[in-house]
Amino acid sequence: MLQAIDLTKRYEDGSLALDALNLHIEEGEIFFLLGANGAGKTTTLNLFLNFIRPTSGQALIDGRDSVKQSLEAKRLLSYISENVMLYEDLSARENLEFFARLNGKNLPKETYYNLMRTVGLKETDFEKHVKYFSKGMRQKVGLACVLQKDTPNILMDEPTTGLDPKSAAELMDTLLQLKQKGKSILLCTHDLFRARMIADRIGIMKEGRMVMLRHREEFMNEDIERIYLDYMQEVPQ
Amino acid sequence: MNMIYSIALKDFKQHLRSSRFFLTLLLCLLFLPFTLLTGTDDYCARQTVCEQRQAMADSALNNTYVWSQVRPLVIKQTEPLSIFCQGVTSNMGTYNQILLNTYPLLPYAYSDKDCSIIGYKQTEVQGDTGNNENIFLNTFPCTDFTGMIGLVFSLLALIFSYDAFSHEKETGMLRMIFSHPVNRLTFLFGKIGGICLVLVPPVIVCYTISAAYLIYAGIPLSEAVWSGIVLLSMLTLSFIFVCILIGILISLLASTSEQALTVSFLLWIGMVFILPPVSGYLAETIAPIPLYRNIEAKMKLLDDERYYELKEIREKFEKEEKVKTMMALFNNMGEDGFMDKWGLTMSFARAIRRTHAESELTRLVYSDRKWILQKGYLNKLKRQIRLRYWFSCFSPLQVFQETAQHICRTSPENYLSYMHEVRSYRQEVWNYFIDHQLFNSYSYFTTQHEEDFMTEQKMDEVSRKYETLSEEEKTSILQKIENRPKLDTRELPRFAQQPASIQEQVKNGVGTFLFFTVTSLIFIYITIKMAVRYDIR
Repeated sequence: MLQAIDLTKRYEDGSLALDALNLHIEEGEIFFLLGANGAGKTTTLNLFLNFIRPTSGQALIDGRDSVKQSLEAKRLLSYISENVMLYEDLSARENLEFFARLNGKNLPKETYYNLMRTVGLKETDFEKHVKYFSKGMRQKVGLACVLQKDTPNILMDEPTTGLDPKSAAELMDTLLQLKQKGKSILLCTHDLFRARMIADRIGIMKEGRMVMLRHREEFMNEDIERIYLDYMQEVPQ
Repeated sequence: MNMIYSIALKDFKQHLRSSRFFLTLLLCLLFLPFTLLTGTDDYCARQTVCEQRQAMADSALNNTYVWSQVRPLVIKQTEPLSIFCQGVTSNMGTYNQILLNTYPLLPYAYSDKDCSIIGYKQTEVQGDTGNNENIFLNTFPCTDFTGMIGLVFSLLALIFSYDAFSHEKETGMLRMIFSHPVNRLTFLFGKIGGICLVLVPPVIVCYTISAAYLIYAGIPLSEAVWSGIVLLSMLTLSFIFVCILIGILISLLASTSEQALTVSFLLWIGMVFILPPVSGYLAETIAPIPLYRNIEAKMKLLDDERYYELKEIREKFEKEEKVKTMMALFNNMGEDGFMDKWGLTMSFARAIRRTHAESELTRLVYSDRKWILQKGYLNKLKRQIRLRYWFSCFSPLQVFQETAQHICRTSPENYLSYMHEVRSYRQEVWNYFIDHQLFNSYSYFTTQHEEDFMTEQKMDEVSRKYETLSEEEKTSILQKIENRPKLDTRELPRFAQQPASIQEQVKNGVGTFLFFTVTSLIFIYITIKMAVRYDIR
């Protein structure tokens, strides 16, 4: 369960990146956070990951404060960025093994191979250096990392950007499977099409504030693209 | 701990596959064997010279006829560890002669008359200060084994660490890593561990190979040499650790890897090429030394004064003993009071004996007066060395090199303390002469027994007779003089150079280890502070 309570971030230069965000993502829920660049989506993720400290408010991961109980919170959280960052000169398996060790796990090789099979990576790529991987393949390794970590909460930052339609569809399938397993998923994106496909809820952010929140039942009957564009053009109060 | 190990292991694997590691191997293979070979060659050459000089010194002492001829030669033993670190060895000489007239200042290198007492030919310099004259400062230590180790491994430590954080940030790996339950300090120590895992084995291999080579080359390896090698490797490791911390600090401060690389490279250039001459220059500027030629000129004035005083003494005793014939059948004289006479009259012998009893003590008094000048000069040299040492604290490389010199007993301080030993030995020798009343004895200047001294009348007869002798008969007499019994100098104190000891090496190294520990702690503290605040986005 992911929770933001009056979460606010003001940078040293005075700019308000996030303005009293309140958010509650239940177990087995996929939440799509939409918004233009600079709307505060990534800032929200950064606050949940404790990459930056909130000016006020709290980000809670299964009730753990992201700042005060940072390490405990991170044990309950997985993260996939737009470009899954991996060590180029290590193989896919070595990367997986490294991240598993960061979580205190020392698994046999076969477990890593199974994880990579699950996310659809070819056997021949298991021991190949990641520098030869396409973006889609990297995403798969990133997903394997998430599966290996097996946390109840997942954060994703623009995961479908740059992916070919097939890879994006595969990713969405995997997210649905994770949802079935009861994971709370917070996904920041511009991809309205995917949001409409799998989101349980969507939130539109603008200039650090959540300007719209819709349940699946609501947005399925609406022209979500129209609403989104209207909000983007609207002058904030 | 497990996580630190995981990060370190991952970094180690990455470093092994990187071009930097090949650079490490290449630099080690290129320079270190070369410096080891040249160091060994140089040591062997010096050792040969020392052995020859020692043989000459022993022979000279065993072939003396009179005590005034006894002016022991002291040979500086070559330090086996100078193979690793030459220090100021190449600037210094190897021997000293124990003289009545003068205190030995520094080891003498040449016997040419053009050379001053400090053992090297001085250039003509205008003015009163002798800048660039301090032979302890005019060194470029990067050409020996430890110099090269310091040079290569400081560069490598910076190369491996300059982008420890900045590169991870640029590639986005920091976001990935810190999305996991990883403490920043764990990551920091993992990074340090990874670099240590890459750099520590080559250092140990370098020293192991060099020790093996020394055994192969037949260099005598005493306990002190072994402990010296161990201490040198420990010193190198602590130095590398400081360099790694500097690199990581740069990585944390720089906004890009390129910036970090530029700063690291400039810092290394500064440490290697700029700080050593600058610290020497500053030391020379702040604490100038006078020209040694000027000191020598003042000493020359004292020598002239002594000459006249000795002349007065000689004339006084010749008068008192009513010497009429101031001649000997055999006469050999030299510097520093050397006098070997044979075939003397009683009055002349007595006058010489009484003269020596006073004049040789006068020589010692004058040498003490000259020593005041020399000591003043030496203190100024020491002050420059100390100042240079303090300035060099700004560069870990210089601290490393100077400590290596201490451990290898090739530092200026080692030479100065060696010279102190030589001067103590000089005191011991002259005390022996005084205690055994040798200055006041006939054996100081003649092998003739007291009962064989002639009267003036006999001397006239012998002289006249000598004139009538054939060349063959004259040669036969000279041969007889040559075959006189030699002096028994076995009781004379011999110089025993303080051998290298483990305690001394540890004592010399302790200060630097403390310096490196404190520096490391300061750097670790700053690095931790920076790492905790580091913006990983």
